[in-house]
Amino acid sequence: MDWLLVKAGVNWKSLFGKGYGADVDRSKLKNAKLDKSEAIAIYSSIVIIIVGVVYWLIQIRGVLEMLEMAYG
Amino acid sequence: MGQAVELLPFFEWMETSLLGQIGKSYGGVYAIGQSIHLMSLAVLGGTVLVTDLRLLNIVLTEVPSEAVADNAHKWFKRALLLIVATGIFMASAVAIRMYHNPFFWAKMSSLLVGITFVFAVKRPLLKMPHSDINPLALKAVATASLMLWFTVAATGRWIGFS
Repeated sequence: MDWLLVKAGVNWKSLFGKGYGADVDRSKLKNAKLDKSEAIAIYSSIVIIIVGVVYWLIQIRGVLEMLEMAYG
Repeated sequence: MGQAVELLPFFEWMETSLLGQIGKSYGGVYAIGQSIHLMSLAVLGGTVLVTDLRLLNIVLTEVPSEAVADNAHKWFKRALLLIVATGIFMASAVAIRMYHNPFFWAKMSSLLVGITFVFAVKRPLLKMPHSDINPLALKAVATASLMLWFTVAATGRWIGFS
């Protein structure tokens, strides 16, 4: 899933980079696995947050409309 | 709505089942089930809050986040088990009414997403040493988790007022 960031020219590892510097000794396999879990976590979280905010905005708007109808 | 229409016979069966009849006929049993459901919800909410607010560096900052997340997850699983069990019992008593309630479906959808998120995304991530995890990933997961479980709780309460 990192392809999106690569395509956008974002250096994923240095951008948020705690422990991602060249000084960190990790096998490529471990790095790849870690990156994948993090990317899945970030992308799925962003989707959930956006859907949640939209859902609650719609609900709140519905309540406000109902209150306006009831009390003017 | 095609799938939902097909579920109606199942909800009708739930209401006429032994579980549904017990819930309908014995108010005391229903009240006990509801009390256990709400207390379990409180425990689950507590574990979610303590884990996610720790990941956001708001509470318990002096305690390692791994310890908080691991211990809270044990109680999260127990609370979830009780919530599902008592929830099935409670829904059985008013199954047809639940079927026609949009907030019931909103709750079920968010609960399903919440459980999937915890066991497929959050836990696998938090099993790693937290110092190795990208801070943005930790904060995103914590925020999404708070949003999800807030939606589960709020839509659950909204069922009673709609």
